[in-house]
Amino acid sequence: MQAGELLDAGYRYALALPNDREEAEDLVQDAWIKLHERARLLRGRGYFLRTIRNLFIDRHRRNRMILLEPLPADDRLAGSDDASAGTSSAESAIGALVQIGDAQLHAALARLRPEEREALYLNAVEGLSASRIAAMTHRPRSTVLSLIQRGKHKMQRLLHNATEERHESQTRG
Amino acid sequence: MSRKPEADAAFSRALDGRLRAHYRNETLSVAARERILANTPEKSRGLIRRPLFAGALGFLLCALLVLGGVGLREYQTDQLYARLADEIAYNHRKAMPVEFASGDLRAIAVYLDRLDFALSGAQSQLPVDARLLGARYCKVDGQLAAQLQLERANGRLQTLYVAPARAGLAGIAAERRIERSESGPAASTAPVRVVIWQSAGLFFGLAEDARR
Repeated sequence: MQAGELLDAGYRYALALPNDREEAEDLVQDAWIKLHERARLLRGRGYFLRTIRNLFIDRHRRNRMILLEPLPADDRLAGSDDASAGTSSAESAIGALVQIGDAQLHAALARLRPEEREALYLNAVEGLSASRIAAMTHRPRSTVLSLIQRGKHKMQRLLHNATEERHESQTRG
Repeated sequence: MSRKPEADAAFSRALDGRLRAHYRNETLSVAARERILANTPEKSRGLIRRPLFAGALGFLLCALLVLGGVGLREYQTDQLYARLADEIAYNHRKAMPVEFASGDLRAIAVYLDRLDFALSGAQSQLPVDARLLGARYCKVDGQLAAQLQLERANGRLQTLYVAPARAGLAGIAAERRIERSESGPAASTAPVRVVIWQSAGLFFGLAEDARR
């Protein structure tokens, strides 16, 4: 893998953690320097991503921000048990996925918790199974599955709400 | 029947696809990439090797080490056989007379009383059609040994060297037949056929003229 490809892969993953481009660039730069200082180029992509993750955790621990903590047991989405509401929510969210631009998607992703965003990224973009994500992030597989499911439910709700708001503004207009 | 699971699954697939497209459009800015690479040691800017490559490289190195070790051991064994065959062929060509003429191995063992091993152990290794003519002391690989003179049923004369399988001679195991000729244009004697083996803690080297 060329250095440029590895840097981009690291940047995309870094972006999924804080959802902030500047911070993602800083993480990639710090991880890259660390990788070279310790002469660990032979370990490749997986090691680079883990270094980025560890730096992210260290940085936020230093700033006393509480991130990547266990899921609360009652973190349920309002209305998610309502079958008919769920169906229309999913359909309108799919519609929103088609219509919205990257900036709006980025804004919706920013509403997720970092661990949910990370799990979604690793699963959907990197194509990792829940077991592999669990091994990489040192979490139980069941927690990873919950993170993916909850992340998707949140995105569904956010996109559905965005569609509803757009309809309302169009009606008013 | 509820359509919710199907709708959720459809959203899940759509979201995955959109996330892939979204993130794959994201690349490090040119300025950031240049800044990062500018701080990278020159030799590290090229190919970043995958763990698989590193693993394959490690496996290859281990295999080479193992094969190298096996090869070196094989080479050393070959060298040992060749060196002993040379020594035995050289002694055989000298055709030194026996010091004690006897057809009885027990009597020879009593005569060769400076040997520090039981010569009687050689009895089972004597060819069944061989007649023992006598013996003398000799040295094989620096160790005091017995040199037995034999005559086979077909009239061929052979010399059997018997020594304890210690030190360098301990490296002899499987039987090998080796033919040794004098080297160089001035070589005048016939080549010598040497058979080397080990049995019951004793080293044996049997030599005879190859052209007879």
